[in-house]
Amino acid sequence: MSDRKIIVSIATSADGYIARSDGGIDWLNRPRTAGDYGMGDFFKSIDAILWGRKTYDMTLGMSKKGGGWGSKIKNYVFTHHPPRSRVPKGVEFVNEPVKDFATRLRSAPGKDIWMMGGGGVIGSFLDAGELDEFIIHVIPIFIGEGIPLIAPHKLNVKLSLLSTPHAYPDGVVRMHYGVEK
Amino acid sequence: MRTVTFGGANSLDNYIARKNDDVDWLMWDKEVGAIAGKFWKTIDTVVMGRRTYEVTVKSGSGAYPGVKNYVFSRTLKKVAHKQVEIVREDAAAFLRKLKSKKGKGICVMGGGILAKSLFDADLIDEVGFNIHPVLLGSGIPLFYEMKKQINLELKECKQLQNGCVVVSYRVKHL
Repeated sequence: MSDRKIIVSIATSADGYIARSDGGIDWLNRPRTAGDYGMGDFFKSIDAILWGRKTYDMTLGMSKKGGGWGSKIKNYVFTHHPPRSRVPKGVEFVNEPVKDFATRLRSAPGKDIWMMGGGGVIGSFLDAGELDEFIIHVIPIFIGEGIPLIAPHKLNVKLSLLSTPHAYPDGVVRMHYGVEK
Repeated sequence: MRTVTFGGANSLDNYIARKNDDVDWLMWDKEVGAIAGKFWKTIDTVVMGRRTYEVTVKSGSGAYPGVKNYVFSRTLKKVAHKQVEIVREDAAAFLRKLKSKKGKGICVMGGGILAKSLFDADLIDEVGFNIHPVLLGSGIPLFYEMKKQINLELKECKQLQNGCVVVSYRVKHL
């Protein structure tokens, strides 16, 4: 087993949503006065991205490129329903148990793995004990209603801070947790 | 104008209790006690909904000490404590009047049902979280769904020794 980690890196509103009910993330578009919130460094540390089907469809699936974030990044999309159209290069649709998939992925050499979400696939990976870290950027806004970080179901996952939370000058707070196993 | 604060201890995924009101995951120690004590000196009034009041009664205290307690309820008949007063009128209208009177800060206790109507009426000035390092996945939410969007200004972000993170915001009023 390699030591590849599966890391949720995501922005949430201060009331805990990752998107509006219709998937909208317009509220994330803010003046970039505080730099890239460490995303550049994070992006260098990963070489694969895990997507839920809805999140994929709403972002990469809609872009013409489809393949998304460069040829060095492998995209895995979790779904029970295979895509109707041709799958872009660099994208693989996955319909196997989370545990089996994660074990296979971790045993292959590579960098860390970015869990993009949404809430459904994050929940499934938590249930399977296959998430290692959470990097949460809390945006100083209440959007009122939307899609929660984790699709609601019973959980009891203990976390521990891996670094001191960082407050950016524009009010964004970055928290970095490890999942206790 | 008196400052109205809402908030509380929450899980990272924004629950204040498990579905059965259980808060076994809450961490309390001297450092948290000192923060709470400091905040308590800035207020003289707490307001809460009936559900929160009933949890308070069940947990044994029945009233928050040293402050005036108001419980919003149209059904509650009587309360055991002298410090507790039942308010039958509209919560937002009552709080608006209370805010304009002289006094210290006002704290909105408990879950999001009451807070939702007060946010909608733009009566809440500050929000504070004590974010616990746990994911509960389900339970009593800190926030109920609101149609409104509210912009915030970060006031404080502080890590506690026990691994919790205290974050507070000022509401940017319209």
